[in-house]
Amino acid sequence: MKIVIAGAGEVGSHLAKLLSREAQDVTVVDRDASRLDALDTKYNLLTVCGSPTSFNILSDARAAKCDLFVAVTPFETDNVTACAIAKSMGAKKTVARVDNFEYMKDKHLSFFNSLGVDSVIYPEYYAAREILTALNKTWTRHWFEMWNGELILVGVKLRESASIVGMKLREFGMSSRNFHVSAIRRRHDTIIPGGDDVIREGDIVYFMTRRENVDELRELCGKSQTDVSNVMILGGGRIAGRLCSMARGKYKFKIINDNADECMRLAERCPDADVICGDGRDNDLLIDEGIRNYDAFLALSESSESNMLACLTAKEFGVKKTIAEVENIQYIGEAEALNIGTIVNKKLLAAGAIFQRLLDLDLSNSKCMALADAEVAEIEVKEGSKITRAAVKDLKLSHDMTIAGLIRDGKGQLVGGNTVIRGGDRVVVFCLTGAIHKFEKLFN
Amino acid sequence: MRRLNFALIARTLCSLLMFEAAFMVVPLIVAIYYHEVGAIQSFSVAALITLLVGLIGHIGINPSVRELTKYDGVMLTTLIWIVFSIFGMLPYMLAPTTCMSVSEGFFEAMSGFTTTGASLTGSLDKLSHAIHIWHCLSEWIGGLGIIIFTVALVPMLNSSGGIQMFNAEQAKISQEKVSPRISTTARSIWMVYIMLTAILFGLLCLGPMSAFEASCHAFATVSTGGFSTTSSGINAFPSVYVKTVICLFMFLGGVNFALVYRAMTGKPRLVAKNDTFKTYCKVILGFTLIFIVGIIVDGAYTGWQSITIDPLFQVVSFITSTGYMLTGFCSWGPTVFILALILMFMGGCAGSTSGGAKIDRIVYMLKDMRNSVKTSLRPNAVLPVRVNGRVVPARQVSVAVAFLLIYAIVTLGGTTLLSFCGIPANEAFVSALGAMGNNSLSIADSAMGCDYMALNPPARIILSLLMLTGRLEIYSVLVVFTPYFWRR
Repeated sequence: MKIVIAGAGEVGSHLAKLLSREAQDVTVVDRDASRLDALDTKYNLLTVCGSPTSFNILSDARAAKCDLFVAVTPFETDNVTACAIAKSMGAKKTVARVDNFEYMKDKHLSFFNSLGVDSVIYPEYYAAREILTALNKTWTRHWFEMWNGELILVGVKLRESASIVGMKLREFGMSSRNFHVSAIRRRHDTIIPGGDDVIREGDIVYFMTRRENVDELRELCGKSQTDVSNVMILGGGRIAGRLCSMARGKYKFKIINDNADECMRLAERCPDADVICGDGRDNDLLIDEGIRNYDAFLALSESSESNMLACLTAKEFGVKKTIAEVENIQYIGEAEALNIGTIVNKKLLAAGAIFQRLLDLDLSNSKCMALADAEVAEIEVKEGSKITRAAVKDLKLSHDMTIAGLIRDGKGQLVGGNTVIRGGDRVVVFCLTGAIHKFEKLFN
Repeated sequence: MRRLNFALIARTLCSLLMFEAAFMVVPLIVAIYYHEVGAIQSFSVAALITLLVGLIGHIGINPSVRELTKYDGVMLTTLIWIVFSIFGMLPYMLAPTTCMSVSEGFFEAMSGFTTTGASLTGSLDKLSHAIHIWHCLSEWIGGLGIIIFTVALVPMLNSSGGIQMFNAEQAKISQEKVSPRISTTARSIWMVYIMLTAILFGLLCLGPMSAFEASCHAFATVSTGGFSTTSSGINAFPSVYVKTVICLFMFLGGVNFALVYRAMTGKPRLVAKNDTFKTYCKVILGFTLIFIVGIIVDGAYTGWQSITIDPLFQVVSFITSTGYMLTGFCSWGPTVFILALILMFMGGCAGSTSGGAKIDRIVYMLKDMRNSVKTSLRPNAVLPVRVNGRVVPARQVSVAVAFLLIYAIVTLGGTTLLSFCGIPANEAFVSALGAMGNNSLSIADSAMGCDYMALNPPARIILSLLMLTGRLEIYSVLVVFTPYFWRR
């Protein structure tokens, strides 16, 4: 598939790297030659230097023939213009990144469509949504609902208290049929586990389950649910603003920011929140603001390092749930190993959102979530495709993937070795990054 | 000390060796066809050894880290040329018609893969058909580059490491990629290459050449290598048709293949707009005119050919680093000889099969020089170096100019080393410049009364390394010998 990415910033570069590993034809357009050089010398893609809003440059980048045009420059007007130009040239689908939540509302979508923008993404929105889910389910690292919650993907960090630590997956599978262990994240690697793999302490295990078994799972993992009502936020620009309006008064927020101008803006945007102007890295200030009484602590400042350390500090003060925004992807592995709760990364979320649109084009219809180095996709199985020919255990599937669950007639069920997948089912597939296109033909 | 991923490098080298073994089957088939018993033996042994080493390494070595770093990529690119030459020399050493020593064989193989076309075989006439085809085939493999060939076929190299190697082999001074994926790019360029070779083969078959001679010359011409099937080279076919056809394809071999591809896929206007290509044509025409004047002044006029196709053929042969030599050349006088050295230094377009310092860099340098003259008069004028309608960043210009200087220094350094080996200064200079430019203007042709045969083993190795340095456009070889490469 031919993909043109306008803007080699953080999101653009990350996406370009991901897609070039996926064996897609990627072309990156940016004004800055030095950014392009860095991509060009290391990754399998084509770069075009020039303005993404120029007709000539976009025609050099062969935007006319591309299947997906992604505009992720720092300026939303440029993004919309670039998409409009690309669409007029013949790009099949266009995605623009915007900086304004208003633009994401459904009622404005037809306006953007008329301009030639097929869909818009707003990374801060995805981050805020992720944080809200995490606040809702404090005992999980990831919580991802599929098909209206028929199937739920839960990522849990296991400690000593979990009764399943030390078990082989085969034994675990015998003891309970309500869960499917889809992936294990151990240190820096993601493993798609087989029956002989052992669950160890410190692993983040991704379970696929159904809503009625979630409580059982929580007990197995030795976790307890805390209800969050008070939330302290460190830093917090646009994400905090979005979060406050999306929470609709469910939580009481206190925002600590050291920039006076930004504090004023936050105070204006979040009338219910308590805004404090001060340095959130100062423990005295945190104690004065009563950090010990807070249920959750969000570190959303611009510096990933400060966020990670601030969360560790908050844990010391006895805050149950901490969430850190870590924009540096290399740090995510380290951050997960530390005792920080949920990690939020705008880039991964935005890339996941764009990925989803890509899969929409490619496979019949699917949802997707991008983990640090694995992907989850919901794929509709075609009648008579390879995957339907035998029970899952007899298919000799690759070790890079696993089928976690399926939805048949609107009901979710887990997939075991004996399950036979039928045409028309929607299956949830876990695979390592870059592998998904290898499996496409199984389902078509 | 930097720790390179030697396990992975070794495994990749071994995997690539299997390709070389596959190529050795071609001369083996030729040997069987012509019933050359000695060649059958030598090539089957050589192919078997190469295949076995490749297979054992490919299966036996299991590197724990499978990601090539930039440093590994550079190392691998340099090593692959050396390893290909080490195994490529086996037939020369085993064959009864050549029976070379190690240093001779290495020189011969390196001269082939780097498309230099210098030979230690003495008389080419006594060689077997199999050795001839291996001579020319090795030039053809090396013509576009070993890496670019393998990147097209080996999916493993389609990762970042492969791109490192691609970059290490092709100096990045022009836009090389014609499509986003490196394997597609490599395949497109190879398609152009194979097509040119096939067309030339067909055209040569129409002339006085046999199919065997035509295939050898097609391989050696499109790759701008310059091996031939007879000692007298192209003079053995005294036909205007052969000269014209070979001249045209040497010219095409010196053009950027990405540009040829674009022209063939419906963008011929790009060719007319390409500054490098225009300069390439202008230089050829300009030098041909001077050659003609030189020939007339020196009284070497022998007929209409000697002032039309002959000087043109000779200029194209020099600038593209093919090194085919017409008999008349020696009598054209010293000015023409010096001009030939300048042409050898220049080389063809970047991204072509030709050697030399590449005309792209000369274009940068000339434009930069013109700007510096202008600046002395109008200090406030903003004078960017503009190539193909785009402003070239100052850094890229300075890298190109520095390259030209390093090129000159390495050539002079090579000359000095050769003179240590007892070679007279002028011959040392000509052969060093020839080796750097992958041009086989041999010492014999400079009428100094000796040729490559007279080289002693150290001189052979020095020249082989110079050929490699020139072929990989210096940096990839040179950095391996710098402390920065090994320092952590």
